[in-house]
Amino acid sequence: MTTTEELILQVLQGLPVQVKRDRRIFISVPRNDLIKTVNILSNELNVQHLSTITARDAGSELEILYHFLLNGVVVTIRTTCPKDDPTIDTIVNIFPGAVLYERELNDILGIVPKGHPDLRRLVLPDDWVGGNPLRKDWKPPQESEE
Amino acid sequence: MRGVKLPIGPQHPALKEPENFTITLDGERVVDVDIRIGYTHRGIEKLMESRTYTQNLYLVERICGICSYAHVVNFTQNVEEVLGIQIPKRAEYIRTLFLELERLHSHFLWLVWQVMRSDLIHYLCIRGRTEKSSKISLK
Repeated sequence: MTTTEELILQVLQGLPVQVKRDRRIFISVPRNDLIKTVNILSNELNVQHLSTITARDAGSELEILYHFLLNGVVVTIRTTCPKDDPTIDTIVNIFPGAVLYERELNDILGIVPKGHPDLRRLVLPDDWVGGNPLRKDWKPPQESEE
Repeated sequence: MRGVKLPIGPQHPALKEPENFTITLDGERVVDVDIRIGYTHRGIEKLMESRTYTQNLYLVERICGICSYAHVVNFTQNVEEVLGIQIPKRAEYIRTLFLELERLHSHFLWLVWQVMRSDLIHYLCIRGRTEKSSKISLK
């Protein structure tokens, strides 16, 4: 275990932390604690790089993972939101680089980041009306018969 | 000249893929940029959902034209971890060998892009890259 990993575990003491393997640390938090946890990473550990945000449809709920990088150690914050209320607090105020990732979440999984400054589509066409394709219950839009 | 908006793309000779940047200028200073991507979004994640692991190998190789090996090794390692598969030592060596060759290959290409202005170095780099690629064969 490197000194960075030891430092991270020391700062994150008390939070539900999981060490899966070398240089890979997971924290599972409820969505209300997301901003608080991101603030801890930003202020106390001085994390400056958000690698990416990924999300998936986990059946009954949506799972969102924020991957941060600190001295070669990937710290992932895992949080969930229910499908009937797919909202999450935006982290744009802390990590401005999250703007595009959160737009993508909104675009393909229908997760709404509350407080996001600019929620336009990112990857799907502007005139897309077919819903959120990465949801498991998504069906391709039927082609209209001429 | 405040707030001049300068659109670049989606089709532009300097861009390798279609994308659109609307740059807001204040005199000569860039004060804002609006990025629009997704013109060639292929929905690989969605395509992978309906395919088997073996079929996905060929899809993953096509994510990127010049770095096909890194993507497929990444995907394979994930599948191996999920299914608990141990691979033989020989496979590990072959993987490492090809990943390193691809790294060389990519750095050569980067170098080519950096020295586009100098014809001689450009052609030397392209020659080195092509010769290296053509000599790879695994018996």
